[in-house]
Amino acid sequence: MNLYRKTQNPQFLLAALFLVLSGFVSCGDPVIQDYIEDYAVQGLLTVGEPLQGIIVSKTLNIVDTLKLANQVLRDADVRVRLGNREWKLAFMPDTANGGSYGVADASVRVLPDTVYSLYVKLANGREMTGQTRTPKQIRWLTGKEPKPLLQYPKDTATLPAAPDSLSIAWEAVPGINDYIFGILCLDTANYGKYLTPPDTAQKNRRVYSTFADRFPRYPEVIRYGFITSTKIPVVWVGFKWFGPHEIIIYAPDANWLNWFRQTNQQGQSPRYDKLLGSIKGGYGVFGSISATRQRMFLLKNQP
Amino acid sequence: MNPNRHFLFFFVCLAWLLFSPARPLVAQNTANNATLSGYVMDMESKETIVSAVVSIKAAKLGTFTNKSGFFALKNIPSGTYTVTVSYLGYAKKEVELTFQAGESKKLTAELKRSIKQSEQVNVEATREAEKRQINISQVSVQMEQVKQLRIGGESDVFRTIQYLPGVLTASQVSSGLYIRGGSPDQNLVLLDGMTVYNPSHLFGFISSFNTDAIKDVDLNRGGFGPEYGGRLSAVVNLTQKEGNREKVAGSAALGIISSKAFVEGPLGNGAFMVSARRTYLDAILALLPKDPLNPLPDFAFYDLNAKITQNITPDDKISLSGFLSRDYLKLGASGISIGIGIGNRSASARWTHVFGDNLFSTLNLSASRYNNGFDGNNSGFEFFVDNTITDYTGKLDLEWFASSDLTVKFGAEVTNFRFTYEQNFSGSRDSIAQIGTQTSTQTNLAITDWTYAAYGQFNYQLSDKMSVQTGLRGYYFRQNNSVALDPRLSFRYQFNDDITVKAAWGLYHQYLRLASNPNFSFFDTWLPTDSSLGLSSALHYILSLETKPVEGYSLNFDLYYKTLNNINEINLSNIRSRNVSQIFYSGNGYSYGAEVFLEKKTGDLTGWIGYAMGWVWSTFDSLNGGRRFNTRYDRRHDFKAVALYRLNDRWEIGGSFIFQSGQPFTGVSSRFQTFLPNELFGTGVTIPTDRNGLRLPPSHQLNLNVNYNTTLFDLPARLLIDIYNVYSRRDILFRYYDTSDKTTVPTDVRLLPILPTLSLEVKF
Repeated sequence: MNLYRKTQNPQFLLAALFLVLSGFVSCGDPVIQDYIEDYAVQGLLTVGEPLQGIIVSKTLNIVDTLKLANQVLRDADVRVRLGNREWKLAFMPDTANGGSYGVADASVRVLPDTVYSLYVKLANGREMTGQTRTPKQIRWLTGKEPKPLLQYPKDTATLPAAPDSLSIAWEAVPGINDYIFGILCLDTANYGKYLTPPDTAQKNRRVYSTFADRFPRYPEVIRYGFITSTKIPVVWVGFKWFGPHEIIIYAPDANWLNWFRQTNQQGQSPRYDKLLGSIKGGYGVFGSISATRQRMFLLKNQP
Repeated sequence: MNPNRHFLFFFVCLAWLLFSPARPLVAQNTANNATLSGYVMDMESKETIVSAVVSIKAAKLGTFTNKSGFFALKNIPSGTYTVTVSYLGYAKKEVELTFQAGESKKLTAELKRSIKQSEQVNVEATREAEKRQINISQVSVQMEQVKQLRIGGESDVFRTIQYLPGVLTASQVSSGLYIRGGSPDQNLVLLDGMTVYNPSHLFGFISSFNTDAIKDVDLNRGGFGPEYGGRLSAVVNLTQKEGNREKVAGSAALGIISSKAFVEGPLGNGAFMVSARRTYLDAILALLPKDPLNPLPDFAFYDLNAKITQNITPDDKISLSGFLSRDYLKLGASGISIGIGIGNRSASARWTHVFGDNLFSTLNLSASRYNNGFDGNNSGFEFFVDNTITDYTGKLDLEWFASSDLTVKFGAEVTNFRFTYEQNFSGSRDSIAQIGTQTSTQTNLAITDWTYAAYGQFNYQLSDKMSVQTGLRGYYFRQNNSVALDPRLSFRYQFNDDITVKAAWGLYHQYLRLASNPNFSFFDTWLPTDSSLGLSSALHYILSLETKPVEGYSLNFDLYYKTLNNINEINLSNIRSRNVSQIFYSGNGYSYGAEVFLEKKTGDLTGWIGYAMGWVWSTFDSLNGGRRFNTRYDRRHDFKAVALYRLNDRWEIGGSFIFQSGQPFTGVSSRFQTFLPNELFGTGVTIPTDRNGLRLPPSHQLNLNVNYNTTLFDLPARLLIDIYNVYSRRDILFRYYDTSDKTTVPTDVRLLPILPTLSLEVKF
């Protein structure tokens, strides 16, 4: 029987179809993977501040609604070493982040230019470790601190670039190439409620920000930016609110910087990159910063 | 197989071929035979025709014209013969010629266009011509088909190539060519001998080649001969039109995305051609009222192709080619302005000379520059990044038609590369860093390198049934002081008139590396392979079965296996890199698969159906825990169908359908919430699953095209109606997990819905 005759045979066609479909199915793709529980540490030390705020947590199933209380592990053995000294950290409940570990004695402060080691042992025996060398203290460049009052023109899009009065600068920190810029809304003045018309139910009047407000996120009171320079203009798009603010410049160690890139520079879907983490045996960070701060007040736009 | 074994295998095969008893290398009793050489051209425009078939049936001789339209037939016994010249879309031409012993005849054959896709292509003649040309995995795409197969209202060479089996896409909005597991940077894209480094517009939606200006395009999906080198996967070779030597002619077209104009005509003892295309979104936006609080981006692209060809003597021709393309995007608001620009600038001068009747030479001098960058001003704080690759290349190719059985190609190439990368985040454009410096705020790098290559390639017909192509390409790279040798070998065995088996094997090296985002080709950065990294290399193994089951149809089956060594993926974790190895992760990969391609080239109905099944794997020590993973362009099944039908003189309809397995993507296995100082909610960070361990749903799309031929002010005109994505299947471009709230939301970014477009094209 030649091939032409075979192709006229329905049984032959059905068998051929079955074989072809079987071939397709056998070359199918793997099914979606399920939830895998993992463990993370977030230890961000700040020079000159108490040795506190180390969060130990497990990772959560993405189908569950986030509850920080479910994430935080309260029974871990957490220790920090500095040379021959070792502190066993206690769990300190906190509703804001679910609680963290720290040295209860607030007089124990993080020293600059010092190597700290972290050791964490979970109840299930899992061990995680990390190490950081704290940066030297960062300072403002004299005369280039943020001005106490700041007022932008209304139409900043079409007016010439702002004068140098908006520019701030700081002294370079040895060993640090990259800095983090933070604008923290202190939100103490209820400045916005005196504005007219009071067209918002929020306590403060939101400042329009072209690039940020198009992608609204949870209403954080701080905004961060990444700078490779030791000077920056205090830019209009950095602010969310009118009123009192704190301008902060951080000098991060490599672990802190990588953590910032991990969590703040991937838009709405940060995905953990192991090469940016600094915890052996798990996920997370053990890093450090030094910071310099200055308060200022953002006035409402000109009418 | 280690390199020594590669060469051992190559030389054993070569020795067998050279000393096999099948046929002596130079046929005997041919010294007194005649030779016929010359050019084939279009009767009306006198434009030379590439890949036309010239044959003498009675003498069982045949050949194809080369990229310059030149051919040579050797070993013609004395006598009177009918010489047949044919090409698709043209009426066959037969010329009776009498040859004396030792005579050398010249022939310029002019073919007349046929309205129908000609069915007069001489099948037997083509078979004779194909005996010496192995051309495994090569597809010559007809420009008429490219023009009719419009995607989103734009005819596009790369978009058409994407409809061939084995050519995959990053997405349906990307014109990048992922060929048999290779990424777009592994494809050599040549335009009149000039290398084009970023052939795309509109963030990669369409290629930057205006189809009006292109005469011929070949895609070689692997196993290519030693005349091409420097890339691991494929060659796309485009030839620009020379222009009409008889009269000034042209066309103009108004489309939704862009408009274009084309002019050609006689010039001196030759012709010229100019073609330009431009979007007008920026012009439309300029007419709209501006709102500083809701700024609209300003976007545009344009390109320009030009060529001048002059015949200096009957055996000497000089052509000057130019290509320019540019895309830019500007956005300004609230004290910050950003501008992005990319562009290609290329030019070449080509001199072709025929020595005697059987040695064809091409000297090509070219310069090609690709640049991209962005700049901005943030309330007086200025910053910019600028990145450029420039090459100056001199290339000499010689094609010796030694006998009816043997064609030898050999040549040499020297390239001067200049890479520059300038980055300035100091706040002031006026702050200029010295070349070669890298500080926390500024980088100014300039690298100059020379590369040299030489090759020899033999096409030898061992017997009526068997032919072989073999050769060697050698390189020297000055900066890392390394030498590379690429042996290549391919066979052709003809079982009968309708069944041919081909096989190819070859080693390929690549010196250039591309740092790129597969979905966004705006910031492509080409880099050399410096001493911190070894050269990339690939091995191709291809087996092909070519059949002609029914007259007018060809049915081809290809099997391939390809290894990729020392390839790269960009390292996004690294902020500052002091050498190339710090910019990339380095690893290996391999791909394998099968392709089926059924094509009908003649008649009122033309088109093809293609199916490919393939696997692409990579292994990088630094990625996925060192475990192997599928690349993003690994698609298991790939089905394509293209049909173009000429209803009558007025109406032509066409359709294209594509079905592909979904792209692999990286899913997530869990999530945790992270906090920086003073953050109240923090950031939800997801834990990824295996890299590209999951797969999106399959993607598929149907496009329809209708042409209505008419006249406008007594000028020939065509109304072009296109429907992109007819049933509005909005495929997923990528999937991400939105963790900006307490619930994690898997979010799909989808591609364009149905998009009807209308264009008008007028010829003069």
